[in-house]
Amino acid sequence: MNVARKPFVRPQELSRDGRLTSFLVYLEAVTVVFDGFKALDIDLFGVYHNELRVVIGPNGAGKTTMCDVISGKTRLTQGKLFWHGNDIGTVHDIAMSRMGVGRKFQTPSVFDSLTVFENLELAIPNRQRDLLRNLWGKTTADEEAKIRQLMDRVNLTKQSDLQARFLSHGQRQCLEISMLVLAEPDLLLVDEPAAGLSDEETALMADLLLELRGQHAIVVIEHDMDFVRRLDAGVTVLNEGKIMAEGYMEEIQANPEVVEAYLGR
Amino acid sequence: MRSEFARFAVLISLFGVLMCPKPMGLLAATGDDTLHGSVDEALVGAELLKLADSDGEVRRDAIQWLANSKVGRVGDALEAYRLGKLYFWQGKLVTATPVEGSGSKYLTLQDALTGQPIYQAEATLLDPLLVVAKADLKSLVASRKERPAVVDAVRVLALYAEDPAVRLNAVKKLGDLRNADYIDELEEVCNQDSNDQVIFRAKESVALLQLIDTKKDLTVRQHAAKELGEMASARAGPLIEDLLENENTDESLRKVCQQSLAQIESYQGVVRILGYIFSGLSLGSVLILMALGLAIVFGQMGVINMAHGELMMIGAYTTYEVQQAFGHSMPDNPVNEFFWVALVVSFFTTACVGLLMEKLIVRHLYGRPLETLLATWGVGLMLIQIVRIRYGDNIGVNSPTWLVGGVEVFQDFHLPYNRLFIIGLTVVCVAFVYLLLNHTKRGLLLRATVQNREIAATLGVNTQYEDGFTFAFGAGLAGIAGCGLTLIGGVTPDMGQNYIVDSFLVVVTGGVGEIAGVVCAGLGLGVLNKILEPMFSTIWGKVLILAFVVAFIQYRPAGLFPPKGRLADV
Amino acid sequence: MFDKADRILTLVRGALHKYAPGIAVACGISIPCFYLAGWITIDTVNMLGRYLALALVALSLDLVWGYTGMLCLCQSFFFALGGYAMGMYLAHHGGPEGIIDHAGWKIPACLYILFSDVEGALTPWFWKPFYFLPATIALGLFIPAFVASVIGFFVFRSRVRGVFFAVLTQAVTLAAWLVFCMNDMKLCGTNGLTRFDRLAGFPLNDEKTRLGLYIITLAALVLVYWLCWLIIKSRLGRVLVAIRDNETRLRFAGYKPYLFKMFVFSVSAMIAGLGGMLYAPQMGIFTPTNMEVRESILVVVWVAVGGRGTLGGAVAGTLLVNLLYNYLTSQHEFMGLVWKPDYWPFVLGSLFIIVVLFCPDGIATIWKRLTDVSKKSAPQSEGTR
Repeated sequence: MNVARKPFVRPQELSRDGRLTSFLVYLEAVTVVFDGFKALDIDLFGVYHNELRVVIGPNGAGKTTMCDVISGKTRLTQGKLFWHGNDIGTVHDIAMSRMGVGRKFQTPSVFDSLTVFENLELAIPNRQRDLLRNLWGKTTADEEAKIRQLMDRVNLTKQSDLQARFLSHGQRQCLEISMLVLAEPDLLLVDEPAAGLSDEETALMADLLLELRGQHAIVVIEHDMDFVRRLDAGVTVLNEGKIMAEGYMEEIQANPEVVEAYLGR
Repeated sequence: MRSEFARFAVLISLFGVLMCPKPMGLLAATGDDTLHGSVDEALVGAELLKLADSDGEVRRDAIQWLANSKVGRVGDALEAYRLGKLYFWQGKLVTATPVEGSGSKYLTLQDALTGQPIYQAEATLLDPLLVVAKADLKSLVASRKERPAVVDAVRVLALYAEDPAVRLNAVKKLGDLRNADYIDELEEVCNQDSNDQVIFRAKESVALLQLIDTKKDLTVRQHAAKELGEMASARAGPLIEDLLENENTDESLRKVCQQSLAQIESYQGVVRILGYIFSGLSLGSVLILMALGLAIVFGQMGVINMAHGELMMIGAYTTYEVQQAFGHSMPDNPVNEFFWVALVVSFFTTACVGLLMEKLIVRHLYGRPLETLLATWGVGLMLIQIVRIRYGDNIGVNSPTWLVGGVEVFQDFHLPYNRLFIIGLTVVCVAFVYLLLNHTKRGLLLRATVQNREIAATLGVNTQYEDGFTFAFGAGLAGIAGCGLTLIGGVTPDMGQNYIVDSFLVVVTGGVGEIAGVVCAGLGLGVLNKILEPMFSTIWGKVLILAFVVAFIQYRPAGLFPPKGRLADV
Repeated sequence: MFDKADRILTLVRGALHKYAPGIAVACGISIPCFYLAGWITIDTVNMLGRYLALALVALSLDLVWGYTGMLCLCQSFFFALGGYAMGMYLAHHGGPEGIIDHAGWKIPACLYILFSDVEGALTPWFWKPFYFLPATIALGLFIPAFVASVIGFFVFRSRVRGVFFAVLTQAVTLAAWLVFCMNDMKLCGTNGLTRFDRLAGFPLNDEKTRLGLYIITLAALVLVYWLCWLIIKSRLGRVLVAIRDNETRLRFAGYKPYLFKMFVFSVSAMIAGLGGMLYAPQMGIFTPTNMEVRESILVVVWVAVGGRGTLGGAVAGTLLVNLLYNYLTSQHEFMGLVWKPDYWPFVLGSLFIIVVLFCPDGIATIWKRLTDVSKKSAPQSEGTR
């Protein structure tokens, strides 16, 4: 693929001000400690606006913990978290999602008893705060159109009135991502999107993510190296809670430390 | 893990410190020898025989003489006389016990004075005791006129009984009667008795009697008041208060009284607080014992067993059955070994019931805690009804003799044996559970199954067996709790219902699945309950505890020792 | 020929499914008709009236448990709050005993019995509003809702869920029961509220009044059912289901679940209170026994048997279990085997176990399978793995 792409700029190479302005989310000296065990120990980590970034690493490296911290599910023990250049300290999950972070979990997490349409309907922004609007209000034509558009994109139009529990694994993944996209977040945290998908579905997922790139910042956690290569994005390697290397896939694969720790000889 | 163990150890040592008796008069009731009568036995026997005389005056004189005999056993004989349990047979005075199964028609005899059983003239090995028909005995009863004198005599003679406990009681009673006539006898006891506790109480009684006697010399009364203050006598408290309220009390006496009252109240205040703490510990240990089984099952398996209270109840009823099997009954026929057997049998019986429950019902509801709650509640309902139909609504379980009564650790501070035993039992159980879970292979397999079932299964662990074992073990602990509870409470079919909510609260407050949490929460809630109880009434105290737990869960939704990390999402 | 029979059967089944609520209402209305025709006694009507009031409580639990997924064991508490409100009103206007106290109020009979030896007893201030029927009705709805909001505010904000929530509500019910049992609270202690004579001037013993109460209860049930249906069908209803299915995901979608939980909890408390208010005059007495923890668990059984997550199921379950209870707690003989009322706990216990093990979705699933003739139930999605 010939992509005229910018060289990967690591956070260390920027000034602090530069980091605050160019990164959408920026972690500074962040540690997370569980009962004496240091799950995360990051000096500098940042994701640019509208960047597609992949985070890889062996099991237990802290990838999900990092997502937990960014999405507000886990408190950081030490350090600072910046969002759009502002120190937001410890914010909980509801607030983070309202600020524009969408999170897709490792195991697809949708509402099983509701239909595909109803699932997406719930994800429409600006409805969440008002109790009564949920009681009386109906979905506008505009919103409905948006929903149908998304369903089209992920090939779920036929399943519109089917309860989500009957969907296949891959379909659930797609549904979950569409729910996130509908909320128009600034940052998407996608935890193992390719897990358990067939080849076709994997290709579909990769295309979807590539489409979304440029409209949202996306952080993808993955193990499937082919998938990662297909995404053709900046890669951050985590190991034992620390960042081991950052760069594009070719640089990473050439890095002997990474190879030893993770990719294998 | 280490930090939890440390917390645990601190708790245990605190408990030990508390149990350490203060140097101030460590008095345990020890068996001492009696105050020997100064009169020879044959003479006493002869006088006693006069009770069988038909002449009322002879009897009255005899009673008077016997009252001054200072022989303790005479008191027993006179008590029998008062109750109509004294008999005249073949020229002797005897008491009688009915032969079992004869319906009181046939009796064996004991000498009224010595208490020794009377044997047959040609005693055979199998059947040495002499059996007599009731018709052959002549019953002797104190007449209405004689009764006050007899009662009086019994009281005084109790001062010379062999058993120090009886003497202690007598000494206290004579003081409480506020009859100054007994001062001389009491003083004699002070001088001549061999048991320290008896002497102490006798002195107290003497001082009490002196104090309230308005005819006595003022200096004597002042001295008495001062002594009572130094003794920190609880019995004196109300008396002194009355004196202070009385306007006629002399000023100098009043001053001494006030001082003494202050001393008494400060000491009794400390005793009272210690009493609350001990009650709290006792209640806490009961809660822990009940909650332990529940915590294991809930924490390790995520299963809510609403029938836990009923399992406990089954343990209590098993204890009853064992008691019946051994023929233990108080006070006539104590067979104390039954209790140890009962503990073991309760454990295994309830463990079996628990295993059945697990295999038939709980196993199929793995991972659905709310459904297990309902299903086990159903089982509980049925268990209650089965027991109710079989046993009726109330049965009596007697404690073994060595658990009756208590030890006076220091003055006025009584610790009942049964509660001490339960505390001890709890400690043993907790230690056992802790060791089992953390230091044995069995415990390791158990924890592995709980933490990651699939992996454990692939490693060859028989997860179904582990589940069954855990549930049965938790049930067995409930059985032991039930057995222990027979010592302090009534045994009814729905006794489990009283404890189930409390047990849950302890588990929930302590943090699911953490033994240390259960211990802390149990002790905490127990002590808190007993501290609140005297301040508010019992019911408000309980309501406050419930409110406290509700509030506590807001603050720490996962309990004192919450499970952290990925497991926290249960 | 079989083909025709099959088509008729399908039609019937379809009709049953579609018009089920209507059929149920028709059955409900037929009861007074049967009574007026003399086929059933007023006692039966009264009993059914009581069971319909209980069905309200079941509906309230279904909202909270069936749809929102929170097992709440304090429905009997809210039921009792409503029941006590109405009970106090009835006690004011009932019973010959009682004196006029210094303030000019007649002390309610059942309260007077307990305090007849107390000099200068006054009617407690909190009894006074319940002298008036409109105030009673308003308070009977408002107080449970208020208590529920307060509890909900604290409990839901700290994200207490699942089992902990169940145990917590159990503790609240227990505490409330303890308090209501105390004589000092001037709520007639364990005797409860008794000596009910008249409701708004109509004597309670009169057959017409009892019939009227039945009709009012039926109407209330229909109304509440319709309201619940509206809630469920609205978006809010879907949010509730989402809370049940995956609260974490809902939070990450920006919703504050505790608001919705508080709302549904308060509404359900109000409904349960309404049930209590309708139950009290039909029962003739209201005691702290009605708010025991055991009663709360009974409500759970009704809903579980009938089918949680379905409104009709809650009502059906209540009626079924209670009618069964009624039948089985009188002495019978089945082919020489004597059945004693003693054995009811075995039936109830096994009901718990059987429903939970074998039909966790209650009889509503059976109903559905019998009557749902549409092809929608079988999923036919493409690309299924």
